Amino acid sequence: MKGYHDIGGESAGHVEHLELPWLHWQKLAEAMRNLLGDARRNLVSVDELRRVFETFGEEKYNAGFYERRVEAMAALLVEKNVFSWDVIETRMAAIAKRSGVR
Amino acid sequence: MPRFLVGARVYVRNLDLAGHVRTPHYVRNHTGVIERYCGAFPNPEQRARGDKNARRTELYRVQFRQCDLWPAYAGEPEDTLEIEVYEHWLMEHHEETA
Repeated sequence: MKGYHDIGGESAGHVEHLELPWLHWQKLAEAMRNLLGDARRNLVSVDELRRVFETFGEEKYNAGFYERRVEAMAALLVEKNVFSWDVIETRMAAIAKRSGVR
Repeated sequence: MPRFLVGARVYVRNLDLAGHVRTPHYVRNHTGVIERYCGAFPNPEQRARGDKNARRTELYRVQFRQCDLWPAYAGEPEDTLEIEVYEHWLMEHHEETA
């Protein structure tokens, strides 16, 4: 079965060439991925991330490059019993409250 | 030991594997030529399942003619596309046509 990520050869229409600045959270996301995948921790490989975001649904996949990587990282760490969704949600709520978001 | 030599004609299998694979559909069921041997690397399909002892698997760069891949290709007939493919996705071309 051809996955929603396997788009080589499909009609894409006009492709915009935009140079977007790296946002701080995107740098954090990559830093975390690098640390979680290093030789000492070896918890998250890029191949595992791809397996997760190629199967967790097209909507999440199309949310954006860093968005899907972060979502996949969280799902993988839950899958590996590093923490639960409860922990992530509680922590997110605390951060949102502290920073006045939401 | 790599099974295919540079210049060999190879056919890309259309394996129906679950999980993450590195072979896009647009080269499957197409015939190309081994352009180079890239070395052996831990099988990304096994790594994608979290296998830290993934088997080292031979990787090749395979060259295709663009006009073979895309029916409506409007470029030059000698234009090519190269992509890396792991050995278990490849078979000798004559196996397919025999």
